[in-house]
Amino acid sequence: MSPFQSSLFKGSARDLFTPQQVQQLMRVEFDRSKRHGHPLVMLLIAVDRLAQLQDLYGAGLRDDVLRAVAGLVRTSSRASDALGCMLDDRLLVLTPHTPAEGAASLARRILEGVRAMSFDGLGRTTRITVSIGGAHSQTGRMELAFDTLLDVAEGGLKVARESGGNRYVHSDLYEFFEERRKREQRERERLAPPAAIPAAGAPPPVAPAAAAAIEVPGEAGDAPLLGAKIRELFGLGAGENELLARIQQEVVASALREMKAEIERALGERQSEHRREIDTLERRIQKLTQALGMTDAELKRALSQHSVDPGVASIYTSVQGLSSNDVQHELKKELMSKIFQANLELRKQISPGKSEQA
Amino acid sequence: MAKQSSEATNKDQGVLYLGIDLGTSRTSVTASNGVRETVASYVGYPKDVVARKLLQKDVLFGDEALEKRLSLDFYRPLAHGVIKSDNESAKNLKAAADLIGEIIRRARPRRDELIYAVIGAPAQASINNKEAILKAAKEHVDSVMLCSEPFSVAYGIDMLDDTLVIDIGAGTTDLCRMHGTMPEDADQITNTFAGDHIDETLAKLIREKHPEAQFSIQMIKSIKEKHSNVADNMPPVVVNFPVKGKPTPFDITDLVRTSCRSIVPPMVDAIGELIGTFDPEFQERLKGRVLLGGGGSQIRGLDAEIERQMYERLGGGKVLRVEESMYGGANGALKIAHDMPAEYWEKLR
Ligand SMILES: Nc1ncnc2c1ncn2[C@@H]1O[C@H](COP(=O)(O)OP(=O)(O)O)[C@@H](O)[C@H]1O
Ligand SMILES: [Mg+2]
Repeated sequence: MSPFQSSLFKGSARDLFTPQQVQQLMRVEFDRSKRHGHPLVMLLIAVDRLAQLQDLYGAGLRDDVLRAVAGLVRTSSRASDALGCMLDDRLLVLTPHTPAEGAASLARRILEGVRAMSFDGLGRTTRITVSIGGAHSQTGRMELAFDTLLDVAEGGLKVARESGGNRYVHSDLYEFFEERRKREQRERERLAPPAAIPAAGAPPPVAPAAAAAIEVPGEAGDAPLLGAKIRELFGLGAGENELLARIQQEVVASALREMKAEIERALGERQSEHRREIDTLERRIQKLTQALGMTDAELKRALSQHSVDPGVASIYTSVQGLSSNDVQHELKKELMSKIFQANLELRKQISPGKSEQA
Repeated sequence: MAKQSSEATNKDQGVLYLGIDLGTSRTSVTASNGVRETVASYVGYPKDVVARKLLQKDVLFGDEALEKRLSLDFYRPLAHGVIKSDNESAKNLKAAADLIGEIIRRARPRRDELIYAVIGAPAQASINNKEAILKAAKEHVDSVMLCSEPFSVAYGIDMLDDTLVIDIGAGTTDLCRMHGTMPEDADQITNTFAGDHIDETLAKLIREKHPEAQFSIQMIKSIKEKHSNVADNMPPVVVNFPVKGKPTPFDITDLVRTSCRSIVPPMVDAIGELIGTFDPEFQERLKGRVLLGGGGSQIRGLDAEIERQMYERLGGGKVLRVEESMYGGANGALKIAHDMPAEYWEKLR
């Protein structure tokens, strides 16, 4: 059972649905919003360095983290009709009746809320961050498919993560993804005549350079809508295949330029992140070594306090045993035998039958 | 297993031999690893939790126990040369067992060595007492034998025939006739005119002569050990006793001499009896080989005084002292332990 599902919709009947069923509900909600013309927002959220967290602190902490983030998303989204489910290790949220601007502010609330959270693992307090990719239905220019929204959110998330995480990215590549989706669908229809309804839970793969215009909260609130600019630049309507290729090229080129800068920044950040991690690990090793030394000293002290004495080995300098050179050898031998007999007798008296026969 | 050949000089390594003198006032050990230790035969257990916290020990021994006896359940488990068995006998037995354990620990045995011990027990110890001693010792050693104390003193200095050993301890004076074989009951006489008797006599005399002086029996014992003398021309003994809280000097020279001498007449009685019942042919030789041992043998002039009284009543005598009064019994017991063939030890395991 995914932690997201069990807590995001705690107390609701939707608790009973599987992630696939929740996604189906999302699609229904998406269609309804299209029919009635009300906006909705989609966010795809991933906890940064989740795999490392799990390696360091175990699956228990990983589940705690996901559950806590899900809880935070639920309270942040405010809308009672928000839908959420796990998509692999990511949280997919759909909030109906929410305008485009709502995506950025919801994302900001989540980013801030997560930064304020802390977790205890291995006696240490751990803090986490998340990356968020966003999409909304209010493009006003075309009929979008649910999967396109998912692609846009996924593209945004990818860029957010690769930029070092702890940020929200909303790419404006609706058109690009919509066109690609349609083309792929046509391709599929040609190959396999009976059209299959896209399977829930299996979003189409994202193109490597699919991310484009980047919107980071706090920076330039009015990020240019790249798609609109391109259209403006080329004076194009949607669907013109020949020009689409050129548009794609331009978009990719422009995206690549921005990506390059982003990647460089991300690499730098990741390096310093690694350095911090190594530093932490080194400090912990040092601490453990110190603790080991202390335990060692403690042991030695305890040993010396209880004066565990190795003892002194028997030697034969003062007395050499009964020597046959002894002038009284025979007499002593007899006396020894008598002492022995007396002791044997004594044992018999003390515990009759127990002693051996002499 | 072990053949007669194992009695050769070259015994197996890995065996620690112990000679133990279990005495009324002191318990001593000498061991084949060169260790020799002695501890006053006192055992004390903290009276309550507070005392245990303070002393940080569960059991105290020797002078340390004596010193702190006010916060201890205090035992002198061998008070009359045997393990006392009064109404507190169970606790006394435990105290005796703990004391035996302690003296063995003080011999510092290695964990990988077998321990064979000979314990010099008072000649008059009852069968119950011997059983208790054996039981206590077996918890700590691999094999153990008991031996009469005066015999081990004589064995230690190779005086095995025609010797009269006198061991003057705290509770008893043990006299034993050695004639080249194991002494029997008829060879031994024990009386209670020993160290404790001197202390009690001295205390009584001081109380009679100086009723105002305040003292304890422990004070009397240390005064005796410091000044004990039976000579007519002994140096004066002047000691301070508090009178109404104020230290006051008392000359107790005559009282010390008198109390120390008090053990001599009964001793000479016993000597006379042991000589008189001996083979007439060897009586003169026995008279000439009286051997003094035990703490009480340190009384200055005692040998001369015994000789004087023997001369008066028996027509003569020669008295020698054991060199190490403190370890005489333990040394002898260790020698017996060494000379005992290995197969005997193994049979008594
Ligand atoms: N210097 C001394 N003069 C007289 N008596 C002594 C002296 N030293 C020890 N003692 C007495 O010897 C007795 C102890 O002798 P010891 O052989 O150790 O006795 P036990 O064999 O009974 O333990 C005690 O009464 C002690 O006071
Ligand atoms: Mg003795």
